[in-house]
Amino acid sequence: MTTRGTRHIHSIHCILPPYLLRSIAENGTPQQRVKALHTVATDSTFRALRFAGGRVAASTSSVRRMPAMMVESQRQRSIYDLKGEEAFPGTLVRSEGQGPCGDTAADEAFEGLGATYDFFWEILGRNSIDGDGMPLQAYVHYGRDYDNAFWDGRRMVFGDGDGELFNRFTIALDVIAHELAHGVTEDEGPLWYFRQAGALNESMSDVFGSLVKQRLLGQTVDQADWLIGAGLLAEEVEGTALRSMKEPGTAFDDDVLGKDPQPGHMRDYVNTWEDNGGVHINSGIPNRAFCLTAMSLGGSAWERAGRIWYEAMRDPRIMPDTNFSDFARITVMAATRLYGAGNEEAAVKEAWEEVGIRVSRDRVSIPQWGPGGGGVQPGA
Amino acid sequence: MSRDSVRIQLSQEGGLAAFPGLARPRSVELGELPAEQAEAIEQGLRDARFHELPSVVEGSGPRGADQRQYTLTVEEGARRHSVKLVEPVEDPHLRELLSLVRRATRRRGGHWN
Repeated sequence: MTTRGTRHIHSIHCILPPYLLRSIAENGTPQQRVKALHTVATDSTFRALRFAGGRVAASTSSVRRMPAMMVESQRQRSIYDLKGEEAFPGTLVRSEGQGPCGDTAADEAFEGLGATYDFFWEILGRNSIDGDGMPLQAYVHYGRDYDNAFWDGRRMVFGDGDGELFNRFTIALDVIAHELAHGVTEDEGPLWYFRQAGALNESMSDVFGSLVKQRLLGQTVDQADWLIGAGLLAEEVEGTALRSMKEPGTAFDDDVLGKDPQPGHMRDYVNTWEDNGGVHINSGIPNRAFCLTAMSLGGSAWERAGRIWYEAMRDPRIMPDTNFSDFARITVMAATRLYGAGNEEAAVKEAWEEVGIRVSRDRVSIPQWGPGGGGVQPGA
Repeated sequence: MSRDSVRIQLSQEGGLAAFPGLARPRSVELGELPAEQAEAIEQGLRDARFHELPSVVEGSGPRGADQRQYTLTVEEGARRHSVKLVEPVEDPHLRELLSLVRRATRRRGGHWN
């Protein structure tokens, strides 16, 4: 793992003044650009500078995050047992620094939150959901036979499953990471939870969900199963998982659950009012674009593909109604920013093309930020 | 009321994944169920005062990603009442009813309306 190296580089680069980092990013060799951008992507000062004049400078506090001050991880996990109730706050059963409490769901949630926190911190330099060390709270044993897990805007909540269709929802690490990633997406962006913007929100959660699992298992892109929620469907159910990022639409085909409705290409896009406009359905398209990008780049998906997607997620050009095509363009621009006009940019572009979304060269090369070219100072 | 004439229908949307089989309305006639299960649902309808509920019942908590909602409909002859339940469902009687109906309508090999 790259834990040490990442932290080391991180701490050094945060001492550099932002204008120097920006200069390296703009004028450096490809290697320098990669290093500088890899580092400063964790620094909101850079983010604000990069898009001076954009709405982020006005809407987000630029002093909120201070990566230079961070030397150790600040995991603060708390797991609460709701004991079958659907009411909070429940009973605290495990908190940071404590060993296993013996309750499987609580211990899985604790470990899952840890793996997810570590991923964001060690790979992406992000300190928790809000980038500022937000304590992580998970609630287990929600309701009776409760077949779901969700993020309620503050906390992650996991049901036990009914045993007939679903097992307990903490059984799959990627599901835990999926819920936590909803918090990250919500903190970063204004994406509506509706139609294509909502499907992008869902897709981001699947992307990071899968990456957390792949990294913990030390899997390369070829070894990864690219499934979301493997092990979650009960034995009797005909299916392997909730979703397949690699082959959307193939995760289950069951008498009770029905058939996995996810498309993997724009030609099969599902127009519906259900499921908030198909947020869990059409997310198959951006999911597959991510998987194709990662497969094309090879190696560990979190290293380049994951970083490109994370950069895109944090891009101030993400709007409440950002659609697949907008997001595709933003990911291509993120690839170019991070790695120059090379394999990465081409891989991202080709992946989107393969799912039916074309990103033209012209549209990519035109900077979109700031009315009037940006002269407004961040935080002003 | 005669059990044979009471039909209960449930559909669900939202949640961590999209399941067409669960989103599609699934219904069951109380008369088709084992007596014990049918009685439990009848009791559940009374305890939750189902027929007095407004058409939408929402929890007071915040709304976030992956949360679900249900539509529960009870038909008895010409009488029909439909309630949309948005999670979190706070009334324990209503949760109990939902749980009973979920089990009754999700039988393998059971028919869909």
